[in-house]
Amino acid sequence: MKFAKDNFQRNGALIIVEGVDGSGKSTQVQLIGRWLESQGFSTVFTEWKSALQLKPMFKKIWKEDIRINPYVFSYALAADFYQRMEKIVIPALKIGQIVISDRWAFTGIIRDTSRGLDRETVENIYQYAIKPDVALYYDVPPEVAVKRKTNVPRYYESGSDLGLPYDRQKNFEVFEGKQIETYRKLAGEGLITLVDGNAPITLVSPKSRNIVKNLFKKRFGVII
Amino acid sequence: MEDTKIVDEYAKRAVEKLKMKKEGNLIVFEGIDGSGKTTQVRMLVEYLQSRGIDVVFTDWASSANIGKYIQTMRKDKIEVVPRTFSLLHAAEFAERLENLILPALSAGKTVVCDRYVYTAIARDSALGVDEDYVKEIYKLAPKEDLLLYFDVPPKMALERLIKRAIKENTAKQTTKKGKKGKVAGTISPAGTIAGTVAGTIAAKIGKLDEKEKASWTDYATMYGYMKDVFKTEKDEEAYYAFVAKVVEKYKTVTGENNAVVIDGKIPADFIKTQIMSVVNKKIFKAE
Repeated sequence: MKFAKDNFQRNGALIIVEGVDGSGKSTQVQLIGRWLESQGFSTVFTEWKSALQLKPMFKKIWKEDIRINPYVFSYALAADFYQRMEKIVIPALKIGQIVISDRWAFTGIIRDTSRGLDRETVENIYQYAIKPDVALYYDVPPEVAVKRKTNVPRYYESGSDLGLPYDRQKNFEVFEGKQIETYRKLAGEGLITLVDGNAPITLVSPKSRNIVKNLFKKRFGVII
Repeated sequence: MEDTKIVDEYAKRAVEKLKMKKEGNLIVFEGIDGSGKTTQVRMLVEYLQSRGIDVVFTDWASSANIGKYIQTMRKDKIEVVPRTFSLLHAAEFAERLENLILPALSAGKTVVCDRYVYTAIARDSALGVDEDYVKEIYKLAPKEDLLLYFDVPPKMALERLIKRAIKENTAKQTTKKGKKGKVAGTISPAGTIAGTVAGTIAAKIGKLDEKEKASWTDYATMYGYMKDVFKTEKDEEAYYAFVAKVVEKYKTVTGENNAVVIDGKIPADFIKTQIMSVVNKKIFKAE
């Protein structure tokens, strides 16, 4: 996957996290954010499918389990991604903030290819995504991710929109398995840094912090 | 992980559905708002129906979920960055493709589209989105059998929109007491000019009493309305510059796709005859 060259001055840094539901990434992202704030950095947080301008549209579709086909799904979420990238991420990077993003274009690749789009097609859609300074991928075996999930899986997160033949729970299990398989492939290609998420939170956090520490040393010459 | 194969299998099926075989005919109308194409689309649909042809009409940005939301965005003036605008319309198109266009075409029906991919190419690229990017996200669109491009000077198109809005609103408001309205803001290039003009005129007419209304409907006062559409001269310039870009791209891309160019300046009845003859010749292969 190729990223777009910055057409702005990147004074801040972009830290992104990836992983399936139940990988623990959202907990990690919170901890990283708090830690950086405590070190005196100004942080900005953004997450997948959260652009204010499109929220009512997604809310309706997700709440009512309205089926949209894989292309509609892909384009709509890419629309959301670019709105946030242009209006939240890039302005923050320009003024030197640390942007922490829960999911990045990799989520598009993972989910859209799991829904049958060619990887090339999805990479083309996300060709204008800028490159993260750090991309952390929290890897857990499918059975662990599934076990961490306590509520009944939703329509889209279980891939039920594809018409998978089982109940929500079983659909979720196979769909998570598919996504983990692809995530590991991306990690193998060096696009995302695999962090073993299959351990208690307190043991996973230092791993995340070390990677971020290296970034700050390399990029800003600061030891934190 | 053997289980993941089942995901691949179902995913493939979901995507293959969008590559259905086309049996029926696809007729596409393109042109800027006010070029006269919508009037002609209606007349052609009626004509085809009168000949006993099973015809399905479809409008731009009209799908059940994404289309509906695009309409809300227009109404509420929610603005997004050009690429988001472009992808959202591609999403809308993909939704309509699966739910309306493809089922009709594969059942052998004739589909008539008021705007098609050329609208996206012309408009999005005028907004600064790379043309190849737009073409790529519309790659699922089946190739039309007949493309009609309505050519009309932008100023004339705008005059028509104003006239239409005046007509519709004075007719509507005489039966009801007009609501006091505010004159709408300036035109956002990406929104529909038709919608903005209609809103502005409706607001303006809503403010007039019955007697005033009667005298405000003549052609000459239209130029007064025209001033209301644009807040400043700069807005007016920006609008025409944008439309010029759209028209230029429209001409190139419809030209490359063998469009039949319709002179939108001539009276609607002449155009109707012309279109009927083109359709009969190109679609129904009649002499």
